[in-house]
Amino acid sequence: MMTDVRAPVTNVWEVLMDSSYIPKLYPDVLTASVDPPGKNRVGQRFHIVAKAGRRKLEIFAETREVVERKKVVTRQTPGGLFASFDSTIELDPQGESTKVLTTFDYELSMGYLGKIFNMVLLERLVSDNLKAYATNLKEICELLPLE
Amino acid sequence: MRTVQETVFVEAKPEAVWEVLEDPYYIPKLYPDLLNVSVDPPGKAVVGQLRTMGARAGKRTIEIRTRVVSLTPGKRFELAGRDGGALDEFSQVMELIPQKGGTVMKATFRLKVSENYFGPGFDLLTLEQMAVRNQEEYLKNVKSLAELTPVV
Repeated sequence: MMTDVRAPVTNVWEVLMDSSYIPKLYPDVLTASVDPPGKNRVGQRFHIVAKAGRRKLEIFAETREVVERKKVVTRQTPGGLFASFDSTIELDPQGESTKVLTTFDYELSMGYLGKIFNMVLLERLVSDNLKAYATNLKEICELLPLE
Repeated sequence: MRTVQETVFVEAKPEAVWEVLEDPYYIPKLYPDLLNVSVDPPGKAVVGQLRTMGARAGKRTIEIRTRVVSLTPGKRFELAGRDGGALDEFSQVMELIPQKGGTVMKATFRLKVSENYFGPGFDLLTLEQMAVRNQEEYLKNVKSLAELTPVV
């Protein structure tokens, strides 16, 4: 998905490098903790808690590639909601705006979910969250500082 | 100075409520207008932990600064404001009382929006109402998240 963000690439990059924005970017993500703490970098591991209906789910991931102000690649690590998950965010600066290309490729873990969930509904939930990500990223990046 | 006092019954044990209260990384999900949070030291709440939140006021970004004043695990959690942010004064006290079937959560918030921080051109009353609304949503969201059940 390609999104035009009316903000310089530095704004977008600041959001992508700060894991505490994650609950704001995905509607059903509740919290995200990272190890080691601090700015996003290769090898940083994510433990994400999300909700599906009245259930809490876990997602485990790791940052695999970071190209300063250009690209972030995240991949699922064992356990949790996804059997596999690859996320690539690529930035194309356009002066005072930025084109953001988001690519998500995933497969849900049947073993983790067991028989609790309606898989069609869960697929829809995941899809809705991934679509919302780009919209929320744009909205946050386009906010202006107070002064 | 505005004061908000509310009591909410949460259909979950105090430990489940505490888990939400002590994890600062839930903050962006709990408050509608908070965007991100940085904490020092990182990790779960400890006395003296400094928190800096980015928030939105309309189409602007602002900063709110707090620190953890006291903690009694599973029972009481207190935050206070710090200089330099959008609130001249801030305090938050959350008390948890176990009851049959769940937890009574008593919350007291006091806040005052900073005129110096915003400068002329901002309606302080509107900003105050926004802050109060965020605190009210905070309580609902703490309840909602504490009542979730894990998959396993």
